[in-house]
Amino acid sequence: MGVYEIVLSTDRTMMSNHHGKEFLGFLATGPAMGVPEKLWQWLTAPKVPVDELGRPREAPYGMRKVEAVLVDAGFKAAIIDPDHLDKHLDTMKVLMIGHHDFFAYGPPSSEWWSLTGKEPLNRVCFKRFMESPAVRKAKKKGVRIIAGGPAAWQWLWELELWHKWGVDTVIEGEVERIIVDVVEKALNGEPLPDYIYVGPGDSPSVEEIPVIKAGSVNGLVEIMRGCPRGCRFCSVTLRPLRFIPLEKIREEIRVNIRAGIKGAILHSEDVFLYGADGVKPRPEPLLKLHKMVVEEIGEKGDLAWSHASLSAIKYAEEEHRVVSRIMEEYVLNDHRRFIGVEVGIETLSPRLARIIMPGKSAPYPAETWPDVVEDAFRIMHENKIVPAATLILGLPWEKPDDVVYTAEMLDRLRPYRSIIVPMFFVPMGALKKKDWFLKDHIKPEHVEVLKKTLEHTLYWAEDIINKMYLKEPFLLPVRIGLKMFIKYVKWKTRRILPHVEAMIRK
Amino acid sequence: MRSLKILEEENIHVIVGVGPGEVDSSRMYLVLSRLSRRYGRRRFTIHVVSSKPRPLYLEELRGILLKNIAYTLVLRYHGYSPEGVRNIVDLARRSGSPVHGIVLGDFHEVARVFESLGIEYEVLG
Repeated sequence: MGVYEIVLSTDRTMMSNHHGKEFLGFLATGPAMGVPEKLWQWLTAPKVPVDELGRPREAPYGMRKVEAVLVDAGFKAAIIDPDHLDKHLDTMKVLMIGHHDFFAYGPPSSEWWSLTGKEPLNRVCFKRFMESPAVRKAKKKGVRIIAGGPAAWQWLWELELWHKWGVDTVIEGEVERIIVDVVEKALNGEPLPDYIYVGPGDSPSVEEIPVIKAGSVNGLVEIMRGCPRGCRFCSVTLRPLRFIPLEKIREEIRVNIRAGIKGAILHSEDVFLYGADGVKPRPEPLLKLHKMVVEEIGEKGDLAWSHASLSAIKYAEEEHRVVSRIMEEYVLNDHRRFIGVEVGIETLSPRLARIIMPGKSAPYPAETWPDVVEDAFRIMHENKIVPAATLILGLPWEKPDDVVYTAEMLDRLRPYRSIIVPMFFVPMGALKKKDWFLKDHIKPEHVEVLKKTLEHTLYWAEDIINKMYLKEPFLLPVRIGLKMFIKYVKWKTRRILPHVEAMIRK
Repeated sequence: MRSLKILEEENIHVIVGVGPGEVDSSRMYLVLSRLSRRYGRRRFTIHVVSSKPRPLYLEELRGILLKNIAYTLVLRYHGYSPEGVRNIVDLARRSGSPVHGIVLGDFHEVARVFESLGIEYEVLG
């Protein structure tokens, strides 16, 4: 029955549309909490519909790009759902595995792990996938395994598993320009390098980036690659800045609509920098982009942004009123009552902001970062944009005053509808000791920030669920599950917090 | 061994002998930066000679792999034979690209092979 020589796959936490609600996918980066694992998995990462060959209706976007490159090059390649790999065991010669967090060392998985002391679901599922009879049989019959994606580096911390599972090559970076040659050599049985890092100089041009061939998870489409902020520790910023032309974005939205996906998530490191002049958003490209997108997805299509920077939101609105124009003219209607986006606060201390992310506040000075954050939060609240924001605690450069300042500043964000997720900077290796990492590292001022963010997030999460989220009748069980989870977190916090505070006082 | 198109064209071959014991490969980054400037190239094929089996030898090279964000790196493993270094040098020289040696830790045999073949090398830690 098998058809494909090259099969791309991953575990269930990735191969899911999370009930059509991308944010629910984040819960799969934590361990099952308050419910059995199977229920947690259904809540966060249900199975996706597949065709008779096991090809999923929706699959991770990065894997769709690799699939498209290989199909365009004439290979018999396809993404196959993890439950249907056995259908292609007789033809499979190369198994390509993608993930954005193979071993849960990325945020927020590592934070859930450090807070609860339990292995997150995505790690558990990925290990289960690699140990599955289909993958083991494939390896036994000589299938070559290539792993890649943004979490490729995590394999360097799991060399025993790499060895045990027989992974042939791990590739990190943008692969459009080079993957055909690697796969050709794999098919020909030629020796492969163990590790490949594709440097910024070998990034594909816009023309070399293909259009996906089938649906991406929740209609995610890329609008740009790269970032102009120039932070010295970041590889994204070294890569050339590429804006995907409107026609190409339109084509991909149409691919998704044909697959039955009713909406789009615009993906970028910073959506408001689409067509920007450096770090300064320009109204024209942003308005054109959103006009085209809503023309394609229609009145009832869901729309979300993947990431935006707070400084770009502030600049776009204060200089050009472009945030409110996009929301009023294109996004908001009876069906689309809000839009979600991930943003990074990271710290509210200007001193720390200057050290860890001097480019993040641009074009505003780093010293004004807390004001930039508050202004952007106000703009988003007024325009029904709901941010899921991250804060980082425990950075090596952090001083107690930075954390105290951050805690105080969090009060200023209280009036604005948002989810704020504190993340702990966890050194690599700490998690694998299977110890509760935070007990030796958490300080009283951290507890204050954790308490404030938890209160903030629980308050607004209930508001969002009651007024805006999961309103579709068929999502009622998910809505009930989510409400139960919030109740569980509140109950658990009441029980744990006194112990944590007592432990810290000691 | 056929080299990869694009990634192993216009590159620099670096042969790394990884000796036993703990080594700090992050210092290799400075060597790569210097070689990149000298030859005006940003792609490296790193040929590893190590007593550790694949892929466990990567533990010793984790430092450089995590530190690097600027250059294309292709890692190839060649087992633990100082004499095998001659074959790698032959292959690398045939490609016409520059060849450089690095010894990480205590691995005199490899250093001696580099010397006998006239390969410029340095010992790091």
